Amino acid sequence: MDYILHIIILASIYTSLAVSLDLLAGHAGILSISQAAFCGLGAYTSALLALRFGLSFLGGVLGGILTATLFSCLVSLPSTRLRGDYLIIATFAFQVILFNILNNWIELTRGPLGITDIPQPVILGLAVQSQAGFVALAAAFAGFTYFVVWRLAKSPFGRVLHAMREDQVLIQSFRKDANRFKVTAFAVSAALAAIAGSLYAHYVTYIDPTSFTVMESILILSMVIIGGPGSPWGPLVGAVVLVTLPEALRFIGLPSSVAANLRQIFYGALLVIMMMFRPRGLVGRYGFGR
Amino acid sequence: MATIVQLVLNSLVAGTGYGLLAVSFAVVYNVTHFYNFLQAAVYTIAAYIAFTLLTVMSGGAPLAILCAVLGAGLLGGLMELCVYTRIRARTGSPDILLLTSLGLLVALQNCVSLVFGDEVKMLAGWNPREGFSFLGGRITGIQATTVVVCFVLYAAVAWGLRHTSFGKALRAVGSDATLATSCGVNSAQIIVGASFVGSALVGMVAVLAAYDTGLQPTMGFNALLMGIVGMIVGGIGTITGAFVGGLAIGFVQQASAWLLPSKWQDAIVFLTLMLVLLLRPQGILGSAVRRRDV
Repeated sequence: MDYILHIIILASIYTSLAVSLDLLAGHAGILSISQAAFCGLGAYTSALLALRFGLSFLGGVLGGILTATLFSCLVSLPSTRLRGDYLIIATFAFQVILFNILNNWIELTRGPLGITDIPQPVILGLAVQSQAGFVALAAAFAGFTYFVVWRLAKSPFGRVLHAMREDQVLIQSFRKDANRFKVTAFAVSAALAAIAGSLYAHYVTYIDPTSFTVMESILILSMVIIGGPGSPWGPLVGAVVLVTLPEALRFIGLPSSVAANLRQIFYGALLVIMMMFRPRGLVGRYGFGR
Repeated sequence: MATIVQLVLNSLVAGTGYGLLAVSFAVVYNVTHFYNFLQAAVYTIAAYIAFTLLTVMSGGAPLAILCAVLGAGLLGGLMELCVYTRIRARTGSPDILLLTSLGLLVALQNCVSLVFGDEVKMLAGWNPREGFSFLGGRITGIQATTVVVCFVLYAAVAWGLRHTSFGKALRAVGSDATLATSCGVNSAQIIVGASFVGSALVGMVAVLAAYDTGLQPTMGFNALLMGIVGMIVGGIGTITGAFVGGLAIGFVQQASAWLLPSKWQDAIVFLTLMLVLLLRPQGILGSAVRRRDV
């Protein structure tokens, strides 16, 4: 039972991450390979704030949001001058640099050893300790992320993002400042990813840099793309499919090292097959980046 | 003085490798216009082909190197023919192609890791790791070979693009595929050919690197990063720019290892990339930024 709850919690956290990335990839049409980096920023900030300064869970989450938003400007700053494939490489570069900082700044992050004994969250005097409590918390966070992205997508702001995805010159001719919209979308997306990261850190109580690698960013992007970018249920479907289906490998009784590789092979192959035969995603309505 | 010579030598060894990688990415990128992350898997697989033939089956070095290079070329060309061509016929979006190549990379790299394991392996046989003195610096046999081979292959590519009919067709497709097709160039064939050549070059660098520092399933990914950074820093669209960019990245990496703890090398290289993207997006030798997708 605990195992099933664990899977539900992981699926909820990945749903939050996929939905947050969908704001950029699906709605604004900006492929970003840096979502794991923002998630890691949130996780490390709230973990360090809790351990070094005894800050509460919500305080840590706020700290994570602030850090991620600040750092998102480092990526969106070039995005105002770059477009298309240059921008993808810029997000990619950010992801690599951030992983290097987490892995090498031993004094702050303890490097590959990771941070242990992260306290479990206490919200308004209520300690969340049981698995069931975490399911509720993670689902609430995923719901919150969904709500934010859904509201933004329906708002005039979202309509400008959609227009920008289709034709950037057109919206500039309507005197909309495309750069401002890009920077805002990046900041919101990073902040939402940071929340998911904080939750992850306080759930597993141990984080190390290997949870926030380039491959993890590619996995989150795959969830959005496989589910269906820019569609209401796409990121949810993608996250649930990519979290639960590989779990089936566990029941065949393979050694864990083989299972880890097979899981990755499954992600990769699924992404290729989807791109070849159904580029708009499982439940998506329109394909990414035409 | 000795440290300066050593720094220059180290930069040359690292830089020529990155330079040829950047050139091989540029050869493919210039005609396909998307970042083909598959090249990282090609790199890894080429190295492991050499490993299988040399260490596992204890075969001869020339045959192993030939098989690795040809295998790399065939893998790149086949994927172009079987996967990318089909997708291009449907959408033609560079983003879809990039995502596909990411999927291929993840799947293939993990296949290698599944078969061979994650620990560092070494190539058996010819093993010229003993160093010799050169103007007060030290360089090993394989490092000197890397420098020479990479320079020669770069020169061959640059010459071939100017003076062979395949090279001319390749440049024509790169600048305008529709126009080239209407002039009787078979664009699809040229793109497959470019993928073959580019991937074979990647395979050559991979074998040299495997001789020097051993093999690991993640080796291709790191190499790909340096190659892409070199290509962008040098200036997209020019072969010489790509090679110069690779040399520059090698120098930045070695110089930073000299001044800072070497663990920061990657971060410094990517910081350089960010700065180049911000301050001079066209790269060192590139002309104005391509505005195709405005």
